[in-house]
Amino acid sequence: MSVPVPSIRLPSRRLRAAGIVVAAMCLLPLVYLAGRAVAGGGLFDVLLRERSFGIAGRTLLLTAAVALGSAGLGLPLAWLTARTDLPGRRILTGLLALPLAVPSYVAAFTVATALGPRGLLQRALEPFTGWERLPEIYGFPGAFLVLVLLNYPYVYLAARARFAVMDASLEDAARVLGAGRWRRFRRVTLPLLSTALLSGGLLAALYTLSDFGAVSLLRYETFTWAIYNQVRGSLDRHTAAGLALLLVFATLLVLAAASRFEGASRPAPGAVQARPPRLHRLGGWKWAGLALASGVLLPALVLPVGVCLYWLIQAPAGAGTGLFAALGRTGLVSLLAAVATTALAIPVAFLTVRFPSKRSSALRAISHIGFGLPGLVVGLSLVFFAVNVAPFLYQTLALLVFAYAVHMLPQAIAPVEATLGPLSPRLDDAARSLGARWLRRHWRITLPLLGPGLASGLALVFLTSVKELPATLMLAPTGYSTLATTVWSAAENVELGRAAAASLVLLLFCAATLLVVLRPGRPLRPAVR
Amino acid sequence: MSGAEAGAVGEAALRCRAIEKRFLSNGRLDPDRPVLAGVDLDVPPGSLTAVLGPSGGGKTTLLRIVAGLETADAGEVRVLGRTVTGTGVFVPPESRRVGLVFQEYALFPHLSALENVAFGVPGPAGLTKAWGALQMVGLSEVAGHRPHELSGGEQQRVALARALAPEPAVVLLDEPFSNLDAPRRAGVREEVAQLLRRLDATAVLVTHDREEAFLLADQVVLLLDGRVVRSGRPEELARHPGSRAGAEFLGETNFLPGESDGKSALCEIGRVEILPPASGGEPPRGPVEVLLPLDGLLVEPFAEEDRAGSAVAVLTRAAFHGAFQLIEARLPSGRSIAARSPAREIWQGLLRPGQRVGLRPAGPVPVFPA
Repeated sequence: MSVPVPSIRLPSRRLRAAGIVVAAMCLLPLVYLAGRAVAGGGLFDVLLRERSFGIAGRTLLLTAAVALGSAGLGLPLAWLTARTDLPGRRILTGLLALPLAVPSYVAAFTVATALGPRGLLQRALEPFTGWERLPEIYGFPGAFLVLVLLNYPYVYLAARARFAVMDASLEDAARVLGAGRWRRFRRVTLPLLSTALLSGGLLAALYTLSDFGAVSLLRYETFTWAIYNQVRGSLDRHTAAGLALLLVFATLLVLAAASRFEGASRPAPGAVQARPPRLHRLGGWKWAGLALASGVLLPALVLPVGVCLYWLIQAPAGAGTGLFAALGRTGLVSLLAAVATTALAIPVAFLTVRFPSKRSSALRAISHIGFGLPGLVVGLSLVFFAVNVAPFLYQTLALLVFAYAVHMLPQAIAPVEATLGPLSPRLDDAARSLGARWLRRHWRITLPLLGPGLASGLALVFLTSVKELPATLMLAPTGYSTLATTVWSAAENVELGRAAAASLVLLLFCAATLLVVLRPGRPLRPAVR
Repeated sequence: MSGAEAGAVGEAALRCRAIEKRFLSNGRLDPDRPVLAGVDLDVPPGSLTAVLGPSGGGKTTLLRIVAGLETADAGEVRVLGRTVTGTGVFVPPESRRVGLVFQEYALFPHLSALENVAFGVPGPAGLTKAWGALQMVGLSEVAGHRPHELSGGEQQRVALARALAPEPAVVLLDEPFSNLDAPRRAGVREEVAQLLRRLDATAVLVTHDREEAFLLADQVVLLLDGRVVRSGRPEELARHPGSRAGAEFLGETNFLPGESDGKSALCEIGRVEILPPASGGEPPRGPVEVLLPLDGLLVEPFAEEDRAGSAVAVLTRAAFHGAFQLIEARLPSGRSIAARSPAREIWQGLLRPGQRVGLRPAGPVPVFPA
């Protein structure tokens, strides 16, 4: 007779009910959107329009270009910092990951005003060169440049992580077998890096598909901007719903393509580092390496901050009016979103970790739907839902928090799952046998032990909410402007001083939050199962 | 409940009747896979009972049902005369007064040793009690340490102190010594048994280790495939393991086919006296299997005059272990039989392979229907 495994025990009724509620919440936007798009005929209309193909083509072009560009930039930077004697690589390693934290709308408006045809750069150069215009930045070139600069860290971080565990003796083996430098790279190193390139490239592609800030401010009409214009401009909700559903299909397409490749390129089992790798001597090439790193950091980090400071100095008086109120509103809605999302993540994590079954993996998949959906689509579908089904929710903070929660749930689930995993379910049994009732058990045992996971879940959701733009634009109550929407609308209206001031407050706020979160705490050794 | 308790003078501290449990496999009840099939258990107050059986035999499930961490499909559990699991009755684990020491201890990693022990006895008075419990297991010096700063044996004692601090009616110990390394195990289990006796605690210990069960317990319950095969004092079990499967699990025995007439059985080593069945009643008649324990066989150099109950066998192996000699002999039919001779017999001269020996049981032996 085999030993009964825990999976055959059933979750409590309370936990099952919570799981069903979360699943329903996560399914609501997609199901409602699909229903509206198909039943309202929007999908059909959109498919018949020539313009839709242009939008789809531009979206896919930009997505593919950004994914490739990020790989092309992230891979050499990872190699330079992980495998060479590049001077200052310790500091560069950290700095090169930072562009991830820059919101796309901040990068977009600073890049546009600095590098545009008659931007700051042109003004600075004109006395010397006499150039009256620089090449066009609006449209594809600007959107591509900004998104690559913000997304290459996905590839860079994944590739660095892969370099860190890559067995250097594999490269030595190839060398002994007579393979030259190029052949070694192509036949050994690159295949080993493929998963990292793929997962990093996938994240960059998904970011691009869902990005609204950069494409809207740089005037490149992809799905997100087109949808926004449909809703705001013509109030044509059917067409917007149809376009949004097409965007969902595009996202599924990217995910499907990625999972196809993924299976083929799993690293060999046991491919762990046996010996630390030898660092390549760059020699004179180190200048080229430094030039590349600074060529990336300059526009991705220095330029946004520098341009913001410049516009701030140039700003007319009163550019900062109301920013404190916006800061307070941002903090409030982000805090509510962080608490709500993390609370919803707890039952999901318990069901998937403690009661693995087909049902709980279905719940896990469902809870990731909102994450895969662009924020604009989540916002749009909830606008439809509120207008048609629950008017009392329309233009309320509750609906905005709900959208954040559905959109960011996996960010809270992952750390909670990670802390719950190594905790033995026996701890709860032990507390019960010692006479502790539900509330006392969870207050004294479960919550403190989940503490680190809950904290990182809260922090991640909070930070993402602070920067979130499209869902906030769609759903925020009238007059409830956050820092993100302030930056965007000020940039739209060419109030550059105001956009710059709001951007700087936003960046400082994010940095301060990060510092609080990352402050060294007492490490807690988990009880091993 | 007081009436029941008053009337429970002679009643066991813990009493299980006809406990049944099946687990779901693929979401369905599997009728062919009962984990527990009608288990009875009586634990007298102040005694230590060992539930002995192989892994997967249902021991841990039985413990979890008694603790209320698992429901039973049928049957009844009474603690101090109060029904805690039964038809239409289910008292949650937190109100059962049943303590539990887990196999992996399950100490709360974020609480100190003292806080762990105090968890079950809330309030300021509880802290004093917890301190007392920690002193009792000799760990007051590490009261402020977190579990990961304690050795395996210390963690085990904290777990025991934690289970005992709320003064449970019965304390259950699930394989409590299996996580300790062999050299330390013997000492720790002796200490634990002494402590439980000193406190006059009622305890149930689950183990797969025959020696541990025999050494520590007042009563041993042999649980095989979800059924109680035999229960009794350790020496009673050693003598009569209840069934052929029970004998196989306990090991160190030979089986020989024989023919029983109800009082004695004739088998290849001669006529042997029969021990009455453990459950009472008549010994089986007709074809039987005769159980001959390794330690219950007298091995003697073959004397010329053949006696009843002593057969001639040829030694094929003789391994000297110091305290005893383990021998294997071939019977005339070609069957092999093993026996263990204590050192004092060996001093009369070691047995050597090739030697002819006589074998007979030291007393009556159990037989099972063939």
